[in-house]
Amino acid sequence: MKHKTLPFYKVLFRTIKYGYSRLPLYFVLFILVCFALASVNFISINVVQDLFDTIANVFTTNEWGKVASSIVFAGIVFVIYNIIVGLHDLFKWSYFMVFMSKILKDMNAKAGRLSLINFESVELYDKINLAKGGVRYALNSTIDLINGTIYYSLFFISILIHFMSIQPIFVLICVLCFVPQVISQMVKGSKLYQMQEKVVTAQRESEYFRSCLTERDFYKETKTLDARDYFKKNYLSKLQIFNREKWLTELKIGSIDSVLTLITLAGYIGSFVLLAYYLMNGQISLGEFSGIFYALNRLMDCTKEMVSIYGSIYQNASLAGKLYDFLELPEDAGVDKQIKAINSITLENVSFGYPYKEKNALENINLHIKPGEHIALVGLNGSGKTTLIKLILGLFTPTKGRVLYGEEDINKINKPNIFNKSSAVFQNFGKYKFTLKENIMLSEIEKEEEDDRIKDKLELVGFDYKRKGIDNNLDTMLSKEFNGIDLSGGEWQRLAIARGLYKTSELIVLDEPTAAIDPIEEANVYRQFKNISTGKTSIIVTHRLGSVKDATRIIVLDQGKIIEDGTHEELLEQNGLYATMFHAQAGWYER
Amino acid sequence: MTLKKKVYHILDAILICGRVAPIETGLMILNVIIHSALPYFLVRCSTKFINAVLNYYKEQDNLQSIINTIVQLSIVFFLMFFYSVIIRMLSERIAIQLRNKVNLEIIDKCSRLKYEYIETGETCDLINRILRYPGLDVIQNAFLHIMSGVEIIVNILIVGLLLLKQVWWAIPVILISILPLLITSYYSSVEAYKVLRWNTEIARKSNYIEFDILRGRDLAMERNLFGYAKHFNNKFEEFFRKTMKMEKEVRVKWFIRMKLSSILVTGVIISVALVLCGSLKAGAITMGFFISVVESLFRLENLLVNQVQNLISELVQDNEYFKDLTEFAALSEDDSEGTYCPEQEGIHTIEFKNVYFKYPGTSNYILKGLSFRMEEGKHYAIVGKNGSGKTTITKLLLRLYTIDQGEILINGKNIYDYSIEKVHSLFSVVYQDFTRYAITVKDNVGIGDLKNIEDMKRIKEVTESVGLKDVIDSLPQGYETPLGKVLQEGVDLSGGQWQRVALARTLMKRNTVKILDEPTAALDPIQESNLYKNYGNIVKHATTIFISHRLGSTKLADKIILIDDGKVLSCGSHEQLMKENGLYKEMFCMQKEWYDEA
Repeated sequence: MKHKTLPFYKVLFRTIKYGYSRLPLYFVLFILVCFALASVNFISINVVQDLFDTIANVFTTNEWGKVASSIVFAGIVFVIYNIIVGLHDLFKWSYFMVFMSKILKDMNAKAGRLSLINFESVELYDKINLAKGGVRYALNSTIDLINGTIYYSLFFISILIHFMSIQPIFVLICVLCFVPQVISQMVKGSKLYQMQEKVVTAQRESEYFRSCLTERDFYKETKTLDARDYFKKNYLSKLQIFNREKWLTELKIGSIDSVLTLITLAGYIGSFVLLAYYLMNGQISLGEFSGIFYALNRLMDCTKEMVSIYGSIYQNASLAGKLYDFLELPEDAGVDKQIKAINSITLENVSFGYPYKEKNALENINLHIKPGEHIALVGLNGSGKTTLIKLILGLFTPTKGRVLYGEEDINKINKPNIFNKSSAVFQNFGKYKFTLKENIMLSEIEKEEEDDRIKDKLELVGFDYKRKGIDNNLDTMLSKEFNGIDLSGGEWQRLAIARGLYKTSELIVLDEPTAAIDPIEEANVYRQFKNISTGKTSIIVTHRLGSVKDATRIIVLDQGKIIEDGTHEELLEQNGLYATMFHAQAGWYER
Repeated sequence: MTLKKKVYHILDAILICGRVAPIETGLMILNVIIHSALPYFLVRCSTKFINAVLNYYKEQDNLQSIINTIVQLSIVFFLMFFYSVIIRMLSERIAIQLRNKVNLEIIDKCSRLKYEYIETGETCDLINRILRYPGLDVIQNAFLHIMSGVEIIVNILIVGLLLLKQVWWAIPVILISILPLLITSYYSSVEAYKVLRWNTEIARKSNYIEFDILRGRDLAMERNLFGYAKHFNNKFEEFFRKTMKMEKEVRVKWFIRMKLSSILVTGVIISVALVLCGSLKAGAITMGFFISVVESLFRLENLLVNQVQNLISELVQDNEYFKDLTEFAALSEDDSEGTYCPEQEGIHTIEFKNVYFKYPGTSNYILKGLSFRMEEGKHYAIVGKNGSGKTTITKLLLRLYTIDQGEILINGKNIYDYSIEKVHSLFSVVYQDFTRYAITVKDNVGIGDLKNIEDMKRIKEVTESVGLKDVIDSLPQGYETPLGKVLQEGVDLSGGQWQRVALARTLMKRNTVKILDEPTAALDPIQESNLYKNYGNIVKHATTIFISHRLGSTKLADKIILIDDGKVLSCGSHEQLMKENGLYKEMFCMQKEWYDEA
């Protein structure tokens, strides 16, 4: 399926507008620098033409001094031109970088504002990557466009005026050189675009097999399976496809180029013959001839440059457009309204379906949670436990029904106001490559840091920050990559719980946070969690049924529905799914 | 077909290209030399042309010689115009050969490296630089850059040669005059590179914040709930500005020196032109020659002033790659030791004798005198707290690491005497982070025994035994369906289904020791108990090692090995261990307690 993108001109227009509105000063200065460059270029061509004129006539005029001074003058102009080019490059680079930082910042902010459901699909991930790739193209296209338009239009106008003043027919020369180049680039652009897709697919696939052989995620298993030859074979076969497609593309481009080069060459030689003819007829002087010939070469070079720059702007516009596709994704909106406290949590007829999935993950859920309750949410894999807590936290918006904190529908309120009421430890909690302190504070980063409070929470979850390697230093970096230390899985888990607790909250959710810690620690964590969360509403999602026996309420989910709801004893008596699961686990411990 | 161990240098780019694509490389060099010699012919032809035209004024009769010169000029133009087309085709031919041979050698070498390299930051960075950033195209690019260098030098020589009679000092003086430009370009590039290198830590941090923290998928929930995006976005900008400022400083610092040295070049070329002007006046050269030469001098000036600097900076960066390549080629491979490879032999005993081990680059011993013995056909459970060293045992058994002290014996023979392939062939493992290969279902399972990867009967047998039949039947192309999102038409499986694929993989080879290294963390209780029970049934007669911190797994074990702090704390059957009243009992009771219906 082909993705619809912004048309070429709109992309450019938007980027120019973007650049102007975010960085007006830079923008204006950049235009001025471009003008300066174009003017000096213009002058340098004229100076050289004059020089040739003077030289050619020197035997008749005998002005040897003038020739010498013209040469020196040309040298000075070259130097000035060179300096301006340098300044222009420097300025272009810094404009690019500053602009880039602005765009990236906007992109990051956008990613932060997107609702979570977007992150469920691979599509968003692709979109972000494409958008990120698009940034460079959008910037380069715009900068090249501004730069190129000023530079080349001044150049062409000056050459045209010059030619017109000598012989109007020379304007034809420009056309002869210009048109084939433009056609060549356009044909090339569209051919390349067609071929690109096949090449890119083959490349991606061969890259994948390469990574199976060399990347860390695959390394251990590929090695111990001794599967190197298998992946090498696959890599090679994809590489052959890639090579073949690439070569075919090159061959096509080469043949198009050859034909068009021939045409351009014919134009060039034609112009030359024309010039020679006028020269022999005495309609132009030798000086003029040399000057025009020099200008003609510059014209050829410039046309080549210009055509390839505009060609790449054209080719890349669709890539650049991806940036705007991303920046314009719909966002959550809501009233900016503070809610005082979570008095109770109510779910009214809530259903929820993931995009592109036929079956709803949750179907018609009704639930009321009183403040201070400790709820355990249990159920088989895929029963909808995690989806339910995401709805309760306001991370997802129900497809049908309402989620209320007290009387407020949380999906009508600006999300940050909802999020600051609750905290959570997720199954795939973050292992942040920051310092120990930052890892904890992260959950409430806008607040002042309080070392005591951090240590307090660490002790509460049994994280030994006095151990060798950390030595009571909260600034210990927790990543080998940044010259710090590595934590064990269990330590990370405890850290994540401490992080969840650090955030001031009325509701706290624990989504299977104990998978990687050993049984003794696990029991401790659960026991402590009860104490820690006194006064808060808490929800624990877990597989280990034994650990949640003393929750005030146990809710059993099955296939997106609440099927059992009650205390441990009540549920065992009901002899339903809960009882079955409980006995299955307990069975392991009866010998 | 291996990457030679030697000191690589940027000029090796030519040798490497010459080795893999001798004809194309030769043609390329020839083409470059012809192209850079064209200015010589251009000057000669246009001199003749201009002189002929001038004579035409005087004599009015040598039209033929004018036409001749135009034809000659056209040939020169033709060669100039087609240069880029030819170069493009030739370099693609070379690129194809490089990809087919050299890249493959590098990838092959990489896949044979000692495992520890990929786990160590420094070598991991090196491998990344070789393969990805800047990556494998550098060899080709370096070759092209060298060719551009050759072109510039030949250009100077050609122009100098033309002037040899009038201005004999042109060649040496121009060559000397570009020295400062070369030197400043070189040092500024080196410095810029160093800044960027130094940046890598900052760059890595800023990348981490950008890609993972601010835009990554995995942290999306916490990012929303904890609302830290703004804080880190500011931090990201701060990093960005910082790197930019550093790079800017280097650029500005070298700007003046660079421009001064290019003024020198322009000055020298202008002086040559002035001297020629004298020769013209004295009648030593013709007008046609003078005009043509001045034009090519101006071209040369343009070339030197605008391109030398960029070229040098490219070459400097390329050279860094060859330094990396030298380092990379020197890394040792994992099959450098051990050759013992008895055919058909399975495992009868495994023995750890007083094994000490610490991970390379760390100082804490993970294993501190670990000893145990395992025998064929029995089920073992290795249990212990986190960090006690359980998982390390698997890595040592598969020889991913080398022990520091003690001995590991397989069938009584030191594990390091075996060939590495033999050792690998003795085990089938499901790791906690097992790999989800984006290949077909058939291959995903068959890869467990590559020799029989086409044996559909066996593959069907093992997939059915782990209960995957229904899943596979429902896939659009059955066993030939690609999994994952990489190949076209790929289908993704759920976590539990993937796990079964990984289990099926271990069943492919019959006579191996099966190791399940904590694969159950993400399973729910019923699935977990079923997994152990079913797997136990399937592999009834094989030797199995279940590694877990949950004691449920121990029910199937003939022998439980309890590990604590890098040593075996106790070892025996469930009953024996319960009697000991130690850590095992404590752990067991703790877990059992949860299920007691008191």
